[in-house]
Amino acid sequence: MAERLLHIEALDAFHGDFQALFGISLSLAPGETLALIGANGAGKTSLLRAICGLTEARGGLLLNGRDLAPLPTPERACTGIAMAPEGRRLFPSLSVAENLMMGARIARPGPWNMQSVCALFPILAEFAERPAGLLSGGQQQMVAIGRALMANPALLLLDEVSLGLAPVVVDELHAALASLRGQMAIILVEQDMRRALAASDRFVCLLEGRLVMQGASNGADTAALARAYFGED
Amino acid sequence: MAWIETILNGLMLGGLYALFGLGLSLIFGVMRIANIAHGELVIAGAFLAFTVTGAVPIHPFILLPVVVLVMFGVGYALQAGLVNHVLGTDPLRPLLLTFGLSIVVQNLLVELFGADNRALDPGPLRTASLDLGPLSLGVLPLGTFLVALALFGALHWALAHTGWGRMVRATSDDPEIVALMGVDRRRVFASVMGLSAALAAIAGMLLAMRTSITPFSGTERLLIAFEVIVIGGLGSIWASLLGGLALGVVHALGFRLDPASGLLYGHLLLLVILLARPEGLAGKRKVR
Repeated sequence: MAERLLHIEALDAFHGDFQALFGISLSLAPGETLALIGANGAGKTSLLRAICGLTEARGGLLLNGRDLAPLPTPERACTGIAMAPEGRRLFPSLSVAENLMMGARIARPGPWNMQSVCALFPILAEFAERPAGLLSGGQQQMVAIGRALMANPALLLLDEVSLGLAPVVVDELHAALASLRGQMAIILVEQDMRRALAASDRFVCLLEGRLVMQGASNGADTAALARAYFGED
Repeated sequence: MAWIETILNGLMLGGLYALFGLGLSLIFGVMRIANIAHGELVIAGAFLAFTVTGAVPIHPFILLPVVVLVMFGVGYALQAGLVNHVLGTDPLRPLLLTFGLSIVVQNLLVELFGADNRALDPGPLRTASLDLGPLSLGVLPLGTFLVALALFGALHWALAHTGWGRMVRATSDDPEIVALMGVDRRRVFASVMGLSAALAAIAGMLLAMRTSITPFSGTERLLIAFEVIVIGGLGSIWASLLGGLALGVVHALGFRLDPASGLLYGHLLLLVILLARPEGLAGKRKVR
């Protein structure tokens, strides 16, 4: 069996009384990129939040063989998990540089620092002292990804990277993400199926909280995937 | 000239008022809760000083760092042991808890110290004055004002230029997401409550050097603290300073006009601000 960084076994997740995920099982190798595909409400964000400990979950959740279940979110972050959450969720009263520094609070040794993040997204160096809340959506997404990279994570969770952004900005972001492939394990949530497959090694399709299809991204049967996406038999 | 002196005295008094509001404003800004026990923390700081100066003949100013440290610990423990457990989506729970705490602290102080008036003796500072030509300013009020300014400046610096300040501002912006950066918001909240209690204790000691207080004096100081942050506006510690100075000046002018109802003018100022500029003097106006 290939070396596993993340192993999820029969994971259920809950938002209060509402069950968002049902028995999800999957694993991820170091340096592998996994695309999470699914319609709105399929459970993609819930899965990422469950991995981080932001959403209540039950089931097996191991990172490098370590059981994450008993760990609260801050301690899980220290094990090497970083996330660029849906909606960016920057700290608007902090400057761009300060947002990036927040990401570096629990940095593991690695190549990512202020210089390398600004080399990936040069606009951030120009706006370093500007309050993050004043940036455009695309620039905010760059800060969110940069903030997550500053931790030098073993597992990077990227939620809805291109949501609400202009195509030209999405192109720029995906070009940057392509350069990250292989450096760390990535779980990418992306609405655009074509982009998601192009940016990943494997895909997982969720439907109403259940895993309904998975496979290699390269050469994936997109017609079958579209049927799984919409829940058509 | 007498009016100028009154305004200057109002500004000095306003520095102390601003200090009452500073800790409350900090708590509200970071945790979005109103700490109803804030007035009791002000008074508890003064009573802690009474206890020590009653046992050891020591000047209150020398005692200040000790009281600050002890009250920081009290605030930290209150937050970690009690308030953190009721934080959530319902703002009523921390409100009720701190209301209950205020009653407990008040009764505890009565039980331990009785209900008599007490004051800290600042020695010759109580009556010392600076003669500036035709104007005369009390040294103690001036010192209180300068201490308040220094504390506002220090807090601003700490929030803007330290890792702790960055963490506090980030937690205030998004307490859920900071956890992804390894921050335990409960610890941040506890440190902020500790700091708020320490600032309240300094204000309490300065108050007790100016006037006598009882265990019941916290209620009036809480009211002043609320008026300070509403008049100044939420969202910035400097707004609290502005609110405190405005309230101090209005109180001083009110007492000069009508010694029987000086405080009333402060309440009227609050009413006018709420009607004419609900975002406060320094608050940002919402664009519709």
